[in-house]
Amino acid sequence: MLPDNLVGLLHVGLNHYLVLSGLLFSIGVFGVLVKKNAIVILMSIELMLNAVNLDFVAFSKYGHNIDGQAMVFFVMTIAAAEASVGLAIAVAVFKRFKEVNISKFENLKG
Amino acid sequence: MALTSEDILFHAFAAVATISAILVVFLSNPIYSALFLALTMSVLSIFYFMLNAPFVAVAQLTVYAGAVMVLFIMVVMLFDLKREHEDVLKISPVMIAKIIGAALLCGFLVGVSWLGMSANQNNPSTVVAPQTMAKDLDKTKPVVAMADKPENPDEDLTAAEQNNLVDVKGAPETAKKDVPTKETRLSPDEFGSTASLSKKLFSKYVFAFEAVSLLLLVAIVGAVALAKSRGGTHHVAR
Amino acid sequence: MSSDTLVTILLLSPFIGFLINGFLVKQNNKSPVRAGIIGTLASGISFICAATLFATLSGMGEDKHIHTLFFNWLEVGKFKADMAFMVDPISAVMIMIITGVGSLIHLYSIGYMGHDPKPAKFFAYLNLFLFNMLVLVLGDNLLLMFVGWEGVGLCSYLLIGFWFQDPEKASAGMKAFVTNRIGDAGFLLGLFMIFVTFGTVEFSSLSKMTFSPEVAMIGPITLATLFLFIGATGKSAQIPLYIWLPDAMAGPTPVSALIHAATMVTAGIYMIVRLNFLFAAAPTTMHVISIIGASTAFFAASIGLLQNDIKKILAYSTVSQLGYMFLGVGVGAFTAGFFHLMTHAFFKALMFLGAGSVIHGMHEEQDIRKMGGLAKKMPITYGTFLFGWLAIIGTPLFSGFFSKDEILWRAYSSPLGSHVLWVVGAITAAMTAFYMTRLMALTFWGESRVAPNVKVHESSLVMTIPLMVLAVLSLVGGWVGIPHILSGGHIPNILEEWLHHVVINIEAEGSAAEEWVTMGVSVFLAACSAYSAYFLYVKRPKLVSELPKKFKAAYTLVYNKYFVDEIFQWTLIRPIIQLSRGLWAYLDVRVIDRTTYLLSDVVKGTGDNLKLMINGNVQQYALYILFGVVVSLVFVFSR
Repeated sequence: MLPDNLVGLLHVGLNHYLVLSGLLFSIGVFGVLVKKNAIVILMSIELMLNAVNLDFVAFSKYGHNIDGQAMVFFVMTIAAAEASVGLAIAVAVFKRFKEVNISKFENLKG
Repeated sequence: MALTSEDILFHAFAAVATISAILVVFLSNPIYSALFLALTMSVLSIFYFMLNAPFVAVAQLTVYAGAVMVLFIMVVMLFDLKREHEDVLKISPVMIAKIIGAALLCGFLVGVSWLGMSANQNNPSTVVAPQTMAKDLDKTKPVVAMADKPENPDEDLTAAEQNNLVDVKGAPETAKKDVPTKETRLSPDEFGSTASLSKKLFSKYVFAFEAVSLLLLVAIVGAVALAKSRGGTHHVAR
Repeated sequence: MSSDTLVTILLLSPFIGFLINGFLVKQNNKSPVRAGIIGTLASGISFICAATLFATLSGMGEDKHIHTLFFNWLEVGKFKADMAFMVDPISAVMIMIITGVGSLIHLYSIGYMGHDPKPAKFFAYLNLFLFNMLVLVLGDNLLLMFVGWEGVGLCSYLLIGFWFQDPEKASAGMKAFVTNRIGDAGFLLGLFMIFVTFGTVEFSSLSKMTFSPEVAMIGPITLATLFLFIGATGKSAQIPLYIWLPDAMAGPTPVSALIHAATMVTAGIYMIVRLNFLFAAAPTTMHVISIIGASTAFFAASIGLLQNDIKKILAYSTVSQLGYMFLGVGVGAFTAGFFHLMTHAFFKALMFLGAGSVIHGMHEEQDIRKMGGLAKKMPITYGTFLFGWLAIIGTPLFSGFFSKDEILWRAYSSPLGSHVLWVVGAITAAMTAFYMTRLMALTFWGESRVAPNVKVHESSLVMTIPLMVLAVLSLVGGWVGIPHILSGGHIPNILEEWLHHVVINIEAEGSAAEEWVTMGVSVFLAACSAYSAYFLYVKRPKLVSELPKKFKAAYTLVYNKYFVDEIFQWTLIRPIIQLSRGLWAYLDVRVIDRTTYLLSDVVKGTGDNLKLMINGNVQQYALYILFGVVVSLVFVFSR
């Protein structure tokens, strides 16, 4: 079988969830920085929020504190509201400019 | 200790989630990105199930993977953007900087988490939540040093744990308590049940609850208003 | 009326006159009468106050002292200077002279400035000058005296350059001010040294300190007095800072009379007499003073021999007579020097006003070669001028005789004096007699060389009354200081007794016989020179016109004032200007300006480059935020 050290390493604990959450969050950050499509950026933000939710729930379980799940409840709600409003804005922008590529919107230059 | 099935499941699904998330970012077709994001969210809901959070898991599936992602897909399809309009990630100095930035963040987060992990191997009682063996779990004693252990321990928690026999929902659940690994099986009054969550929500967080519902109302109104407008610099009056 | 009120009115009356004439009277009013009356009235009120104060003072006992405090002015650490004024025997005489002669000159100016476009300005400046001079004389500490010192320098500049539209006159004013300023630096250094040595600059405190001739004190005292003397050379036109006074003749003649004969130039002498105890304790300085005084007297008199502008002759004469005064105080005869100050004020002011009358009558002609025979055409002017001439050459009974002789006797006999000084002084007296007689001969006597189209007229009463008053003073002014040997002890030397308690008197070490001899020699020399001048210029004018050709080199040298101005220009002024220009071009423009431009360029460049960060790409902004977050997290977690 696997050596004991490895088993100890692989046996799931809080830290595994934290690492996973960190990874997902970083990937989301990378998506926000890199992608040009406004919708995909919004999706990356959703990814980040999900990673945070995972963090909360993991802490809630391993800290024996249901407050974490209550947090998730709120985050989820707000994320949904934000996604809807963000998409509404994206639709409005598309209606006007026929583009959602953010490299076309650099009016803040200078 | 040995690897439980739960561990293997975790690692498998973690790999799926990670790869799926990476694909969200690296695929150039927004539809594909949306679909893989939906997959990621679904996998996350599995994790929530594993973490004794059934309500959250279901909510994740319903709200996120169900409503939000459908919304995203609908909007993407509405735009009907062709693939060639999408961006291909090209290497440039700025891109390098972004990669480095994201990598730094990732390294930081993972490193901090990992440190907790390796410390955990050496010392069971660490600041980060210690890994407790199922059989070592003794609900009568307070858990060692959780950093944000609340001053007022959850009444339901201690009550439910101290008194395994007290059961709100009824007697049949008691039988399940005989199973040694308590945290992998859920029962209504135990940690993670909807009842306990809702008790918290409506007592301690009732104000936030109400505020969030107000927020939802505002978001609805805002979205409708945005959808109604002609967009851009068109005059408002017709 | 209390003395405090009198002092206040004395000081403020000319100042208020200045304000009225300067700001309230319409400047373009051609008639000088209104402005002139205001000015003269202000001056006259001051004179009445001065006379009253003088009378009050003489009524006091041994310690004659009137002290008036306006307000506490400065008190910084140990340094204390109040706005306080002190009337004591010395300053009482000074204020009488200043306000008395000043009022006469104000009256005269009403007539003289009759055709000037801006008479109100003139009278305003004259009143301002009077105010500053009074502050100088009455101030009870060195700092307040310096305020007046600077103030009269300013007024001198304003008045010399009164017709500043003429660039020559304007530059004459500037020359006066700058030269004065150089002297003022010396004055300030002396003030500082006195404060450092004694801890106070108040005259009464200083006079009470007894100076024992310890070696430790002499050094600082000598240095301080030398610095103060440098200031005096600037103000009182001694070598090397006399160069401004001849040029100052560019101003109106009443200005020359008031400032450059009677009052301002005497400020240096006054300062030394005021601090006589200090100077008496520094023999080295006294020697320097006497030597410079004698040299200046001789030097200026030699230049005056050959000048042709009537005012320039009088200017060099003033420099020369001031040299006499310094010679007097330099040998310890403070009273004698002060006496000569007083008599000189009378007869020199008289002669300047008379010259002004002549110029006025000759329709602005100042070259004496174009005059002659004016005695018949301007009788009053001639008559009064005669008194002045007799006084300055030292005719017995006239005021100049008593004062000049006293100085010469002290130069001979004082422990600080020497026979050499006396010889120089005697020769200078001879030269004085010569050039003054020459002036008389060429201006008033002999045949008329006046151009035919010039209608010579006598001046109006407004101008001649002051002349007459001053003429009388030139005669009787000396009778307050009759030396003992002449009067045989029957007539007291009033001035000496008046100043007895406040002025140190270094006794003469000589016998009465020597005194008679020196007196006789000087009178004889003066008479000889006067007669020879008369002979040459009236009887043998052709011979005189031959002389310049025979002694061409000497003539050119002396006629051009020994080229002193040119020497200064080449050795001092041009190098300084070149240096300034060089510094400006190389240091200011190239280094300092470059540095400031560099700084601004750096800032601008940084801004321009940082501006590139704002390119409108929101994702880059997010990247910056991310970097910031990572750094902060690391920072927080590393603790």
